[in-house]
Amino acid sequence: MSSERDPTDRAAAEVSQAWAQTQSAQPPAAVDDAVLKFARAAQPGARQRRRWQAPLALAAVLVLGVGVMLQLWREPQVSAPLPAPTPAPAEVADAQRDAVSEAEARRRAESESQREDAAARKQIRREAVDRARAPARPPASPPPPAEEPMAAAVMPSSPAPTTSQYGFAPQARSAESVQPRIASSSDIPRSMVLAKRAAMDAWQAADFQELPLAVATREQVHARYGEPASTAADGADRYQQLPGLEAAAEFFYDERARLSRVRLLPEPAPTMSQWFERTVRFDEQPQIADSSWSCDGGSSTTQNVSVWVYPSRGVWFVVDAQQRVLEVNYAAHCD
Amino acid sequence: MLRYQRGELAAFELLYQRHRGGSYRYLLRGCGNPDVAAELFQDVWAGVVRSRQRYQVKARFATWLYKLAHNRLIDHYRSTRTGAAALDDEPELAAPEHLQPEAQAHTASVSRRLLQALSALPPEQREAFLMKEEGGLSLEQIAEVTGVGRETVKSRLRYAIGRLRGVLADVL
Repeated sequence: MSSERDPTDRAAAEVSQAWAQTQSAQPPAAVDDAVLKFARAAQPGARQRRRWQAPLALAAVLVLGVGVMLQLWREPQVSAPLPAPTPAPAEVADAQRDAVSEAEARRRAESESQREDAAARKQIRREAVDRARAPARPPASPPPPAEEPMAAAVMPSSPAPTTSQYGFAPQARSAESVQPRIASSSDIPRSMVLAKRAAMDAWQAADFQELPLAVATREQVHARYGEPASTAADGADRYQQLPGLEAAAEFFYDERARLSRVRLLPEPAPTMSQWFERTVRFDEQPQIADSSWSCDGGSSTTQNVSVWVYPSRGVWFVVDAQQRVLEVNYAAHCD
Repeated sequence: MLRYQRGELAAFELLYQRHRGGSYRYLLRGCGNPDVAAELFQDVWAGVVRSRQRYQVKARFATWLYKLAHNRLIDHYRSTRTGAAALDDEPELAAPEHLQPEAQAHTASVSRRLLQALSALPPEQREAFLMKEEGGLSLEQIAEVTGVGRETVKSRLRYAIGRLRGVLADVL
């Protein structure tokens, strides 16, 4: 590959970048409302439900009512017990086999689920013991429940707690201390595994500190946060720490130099409840996936973590077994 | 789009969120008037809603969308008998509040020059440029939308970029 760019390509890239940085016109909100309203009204399901709901309900009531009346009318005439019905042998055998196989399948599924949950609990207990025995690591607190208030959070280890937006003194967490000591992805209950397709369908582009993803440009990001500490080979800008957040940050851009993703690495790692206390609380429940989940095909660099996905917020969290936030990712798209 | 065909409104909302900005700017820069652009924009997206059952997975949704937008713009040109859109008003700028005044003035200047140069382009060159920049369409997709060959699109883009690059020579 030639090391020099074709002048035509260079000119195209320059014009493209200048265009992207200066063009931000959006349709008016009233137009957005009109388009979405039109789309909703055009839904055939909505129209048909409205059209057929009342007659269908009336028909159901009539059928039930007539059936009950017939039953009541017939019953007084029955004077002798009915003979026991003679089942067709083949049908009975088939029905019994089906019932047995269904019950067996249910028993197997339940016992497998119980085995998985037991294995998960055993793994968590084993890792808690390992952590307690490891002298170099800071003492770990037991896994807090999701709704644990900040007052019961990890106690500070330093004598003079410094200001922290998460309400506790920071404990140093070097890159080496982030060890894969979390429950493996196979321990996550099967019912919690997210189909990526569902997340992609429901994805809503995020705003990161009022910078709209897919719209904000590199220049606007630099104007907000200053020059980055470094720029990676893939064009991502890296900042050691963003003002107001105890987190390193990476800003990724698409081919049109628009902000496509923001990845935060909080330091120290807060719990999920602490993160929500200081940023914005999401009322909806997350969808949970294993560590291989990502919007852009990449997976978490830390193994044995779970991913909490909020498609309607355009964000996903990488979380360890103690619900500590290792990463926060805001994305414009989920492809 | 296929999911929207099956009745999932959320799928439409996702598509709309993804393509609303680019398609609006394509129409705005094509007709030069925000009020007209808003009207054309609603027509295009109403067309998406009405023709959803006819959509076939032969190409990207963006190609199909910009085909609708291109046709609507052509209709507008014919009805107003204007081929080159004149910018009657100052270019619409939405500079974020956190930009410094100097940077904002510079951005406004670059934007104004770009838009003036764009309006001076022949319509086919302007359209090719906007489909590439706002729609992210490839040469082949632009060719499909406009009904010409790939090399013709390449030439149009080369001329358009050359002219736009020329007006920004002192700032790039």
